[in-house]
Amino acid sequence: MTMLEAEKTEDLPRDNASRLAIYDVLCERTSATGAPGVTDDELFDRVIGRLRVLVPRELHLVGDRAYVDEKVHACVEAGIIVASCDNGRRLLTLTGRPPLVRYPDGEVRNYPPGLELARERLDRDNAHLRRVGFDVRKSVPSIADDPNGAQFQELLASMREHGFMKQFPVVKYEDDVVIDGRARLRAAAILHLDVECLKHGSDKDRKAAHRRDTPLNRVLVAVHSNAGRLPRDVMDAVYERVADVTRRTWDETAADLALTHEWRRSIPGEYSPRFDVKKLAYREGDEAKIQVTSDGKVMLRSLIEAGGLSNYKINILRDHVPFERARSAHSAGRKAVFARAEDLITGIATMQQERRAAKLKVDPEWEQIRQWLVRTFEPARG
Amino acid sequence: MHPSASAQTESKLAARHVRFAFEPNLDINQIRDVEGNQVRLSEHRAPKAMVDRYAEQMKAGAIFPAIVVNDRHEIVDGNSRWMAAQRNKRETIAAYVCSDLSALQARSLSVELNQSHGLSMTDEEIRAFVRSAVEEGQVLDAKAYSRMTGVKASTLARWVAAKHFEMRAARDGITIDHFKDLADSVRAALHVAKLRAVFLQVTTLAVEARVPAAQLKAIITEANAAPSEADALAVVARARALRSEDVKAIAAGFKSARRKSIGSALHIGGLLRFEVDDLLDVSPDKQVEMFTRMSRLRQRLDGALTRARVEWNLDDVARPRDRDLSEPRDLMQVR
Repeated sequence: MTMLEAEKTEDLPRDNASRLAIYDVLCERTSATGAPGVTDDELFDRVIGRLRVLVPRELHLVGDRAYVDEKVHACVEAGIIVASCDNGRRLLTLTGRPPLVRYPDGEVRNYPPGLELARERLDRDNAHLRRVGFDVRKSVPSIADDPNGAQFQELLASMREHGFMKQFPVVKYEDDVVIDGRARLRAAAILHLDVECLKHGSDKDRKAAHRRDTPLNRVLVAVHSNAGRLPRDVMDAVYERVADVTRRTWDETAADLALTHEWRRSIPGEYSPRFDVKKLAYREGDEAKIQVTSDGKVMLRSLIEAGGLSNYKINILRDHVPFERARSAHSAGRKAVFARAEDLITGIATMQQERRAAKLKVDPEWEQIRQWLVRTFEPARG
Repeated sequence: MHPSASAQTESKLAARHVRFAFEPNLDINQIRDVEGNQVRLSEHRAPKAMVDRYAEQMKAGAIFPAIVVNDRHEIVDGNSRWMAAQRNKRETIAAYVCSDLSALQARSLSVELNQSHGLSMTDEEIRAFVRSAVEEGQVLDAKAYSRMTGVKASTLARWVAAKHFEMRAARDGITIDHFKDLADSVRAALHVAKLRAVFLQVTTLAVEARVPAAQLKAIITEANAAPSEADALAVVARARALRSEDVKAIAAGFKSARRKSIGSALHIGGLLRFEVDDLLDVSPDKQVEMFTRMSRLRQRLDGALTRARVEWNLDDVARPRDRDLSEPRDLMQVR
């Protein structure tokens, strides 16, 4: 196992959230006052409010003071803080060794002071912006706002000459909102050109884009993508409108965005369950190819191909059978589609009925596959 | 739809703009129970009887809705289901894996999901959560939380206001020992005071005279509407002077004597809601009796008014007959 893999799988302590809260308080006090450390009482007063949110049950069971003392001790043991004596008082100071935190990509990294609080503040900002239906497009002018203006006419002339340049696709969000590319969309509509929208190459890319899509992110996209043409006062006006809604200054929001940058850019890894399978033969004498789990799940591609159908026909079952995606010892590349045998038996029957009723073609192989499932799994269940 | 998928859970996650992925086969060994994953207090969390029942149902083939975990696979909701699956030596469990859940989001999600299945949280548990969220500077939407928790919006709003009062009191140097006996409704009423000086004075008055919330609201409303701080403080001083006997009695360790007028005030207030025509709308067989009783009431009130004018030094107050009898009056004016 490489060092990186070891870090990624490292288990953080169960009380990590409380340790981060204590660390944040110490960092904040040290930077705000320049004091060498804080006393136990001061730390307690400053951290207890946060702990009441983070660990209400533990505080209820152990008691406020006892819990905080226990966690301070844990931080000392972990080498995050050190306790010293100053005129008979115990002073807690940072050692310079930060606690650890697991990023969304699964990697365990050093914890930047204030990260958790900054994330919560940004959540709150985004919630405020969503609540009022904040639309950044209303604050960022587009050259399409003035169709007779020189800039829009130049764009029209360019697109008339070169068409819609597909190397610069328009980014359309899931709610069909376009933040950057409004003028090109309008020009394309006028010129009856096909618009090229950004296509995500993989599920991972799509999920990453979806994860990043927050009201604040749209503000950043709108400002950054138009930074070249927007005057400073327009950009400031956008930030002011955001600040009006979030009820704090844009500088504070920007500082939190900077602090959480790495976190926000970190893409969660895709979870891949792994099924233990054995292989069954479709017909006596055939090679055993159909992957089946011990709890009666069947790998669809192996079944359908063994039954004589092309693997794309899996899609016909999509509306009738719940799919589960997983890897097995025999699968490579993308996760394979599995389904429970009993769901397949009923799902195939329903699919056949519906297709017949709609006068669509029903491959006879489906019935043979269903019969195989019944023969293989019904006796086991009985 | 997968049998373990839950439209209810999905709609709750979507309403909170939480990103999630449904995973029907999450490895049970990867699920972590970290501190603070639940807002339930001790005795209510994953009760043994419920875990036993779930385990039996699972063995019999029952399919349970997916649990909820964060992207670190730390459990947010579904402790009983998770424990039942472990007891049955299951290797996987269906789960909604939520990404980017902050600690606070996880807590509030846990509250909401807990209310919709299994054993609902007690009011005390919800109250503890609401108070801690307010302490962290969160703005709670009382209506939304009422929908989630089943606690009345007005009760939630009172808890929030009471917590705000406590935080404000702490900022202004009032120790919790000073106001520990005040009810939530009184704390909520006190929080409305605008000026710091008024807040301090009226809090002291509330503690020392044990003023009910309804009366405090009237005093604070009047003080808030005063044109200057001095006038506002005068309102509080006047209210204090009126309750000087209560203050003395309570300071001496006695309960303030219960005034007999507390009972009659409500009835007088009730009578004032009736117009003359309403009072005359009496069935013929009861008219004589009603007339007699109203006459006795009038005699008694005349006597009371005459003495009150003298004993309470109310010469400046206009006589009742000078007023329009249909003028609506609230209880405070009557008293």
